[in-house]
Amino acid sequence: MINVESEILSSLRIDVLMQSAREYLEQSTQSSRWMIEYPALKNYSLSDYLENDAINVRKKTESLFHDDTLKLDGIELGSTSSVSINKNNEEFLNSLRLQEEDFVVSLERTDFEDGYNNSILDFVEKNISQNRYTTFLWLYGVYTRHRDDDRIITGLLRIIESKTTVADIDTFFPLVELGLKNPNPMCQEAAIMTIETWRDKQCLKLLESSNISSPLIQRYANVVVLELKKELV
Amino acid sequence: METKMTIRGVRGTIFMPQVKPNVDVIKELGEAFPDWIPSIENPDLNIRDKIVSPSGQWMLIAPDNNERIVFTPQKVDYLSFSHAEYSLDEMNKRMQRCKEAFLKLIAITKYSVTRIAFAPAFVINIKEKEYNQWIASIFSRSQFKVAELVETNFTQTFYVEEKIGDRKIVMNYISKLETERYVQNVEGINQIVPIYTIEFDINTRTNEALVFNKEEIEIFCSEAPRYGESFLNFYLMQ
Repeated sequence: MINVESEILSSLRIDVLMQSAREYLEQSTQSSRWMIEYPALKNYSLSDYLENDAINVRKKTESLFHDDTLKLDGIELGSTSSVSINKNNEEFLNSLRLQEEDFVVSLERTDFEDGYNNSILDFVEKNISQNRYTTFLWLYGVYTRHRDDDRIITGLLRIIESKTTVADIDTFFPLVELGLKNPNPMCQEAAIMTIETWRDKQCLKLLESSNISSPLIQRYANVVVLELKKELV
Repeated sequence: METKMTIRGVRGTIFMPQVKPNVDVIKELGEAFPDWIPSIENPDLNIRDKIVSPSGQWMLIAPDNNERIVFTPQKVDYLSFSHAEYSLDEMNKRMQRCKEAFLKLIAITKYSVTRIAFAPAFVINIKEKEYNQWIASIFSRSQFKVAELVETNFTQTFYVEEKIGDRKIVMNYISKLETERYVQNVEGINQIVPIYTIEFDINTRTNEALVFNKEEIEIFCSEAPRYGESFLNFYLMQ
């Protein structure tokens, strides 16, 4: 397993990085309102993956802005009107896109283990809690922009498996379908895991008709098919 | 302030994953809303599992065009447009329809509802001079129920804790006052006529971890007209 933290730590000077992280957080919280509104923006930085001190800095900054005010320049966050919701989504999506490069680098280096959270899952979780729809829309976009990179696709499928429910099937079904068609066994395994989580009839049909390249993954697929047939058919 | 209010429209909203248009949903909703017409705004189509479905929002429209249920990617809106003089009974009647639609939808989809809202809009029938005096008076009021005024982009916002079922939920009470101006022919002369509107958006705050069950949605829809009335009284009191 690749240890992301130690790998990055060994390649960077931590003191310089921490200083710049502090400056960044101070500037962002003082000068820009939207940084306050979207804690994920200031939470997600490379320093998060480095050491606990970064988390302390974050906590200190957050405590100054404990009241999650609804005001955002030009955007009406508290309103449930479609216009406000769309504007809010647009801003949120832009903020996620700004972090996409760092996210993809981290995703490539992260190993997912069953039942364990990691910084990538925490990051996605945090954004889902703020804006589920837009976070999913962005994840879909990340997928389409990196569809040739098996590690990214596998990572994204693991996120989908871990953070979505069958209610999100309409959004992510094409991704699972493509994951199963991908010749990489890792991608196929992640897609099957998602199907196992969703437990849906359409997914069962899809899995039954899929060609799995690895015998080991095929065995796993057979177990899932049997289980779902018992439950759904 | 002694004035007549006209209801311009009422919106009830629940936040849930998008309900895709399919025959079963339309048929089941059709039991409560017979002869409503499904309508698709976005002609882009998705194909999944050999089924073609439109992307983006779609809606069910009442035959008289005064009511709609709009299914957007994040929320479902029940809209009632018909104008009538404001009364609690009138609001109750509309929210009863809204409740019916939401409960039916939850029963069909089993989706989790993470946010609920009630947003009425009114026209204030008042003279310009009185309106200006009234506006001046409302900005001096900074406390609604036990909540203090919060500075936002809206006219006024209060965070008020309300009891929905067994739970205490912090709700946004948001108001927006606007003046629309139209050119109208009054006694043979074209004149600019102002129309004063007040819109409320009373909603639970964004929290994906907070899921509302069927009973809580039922309670919210039943109580919503009263929330609206208390907020309206806050503005109309002397």
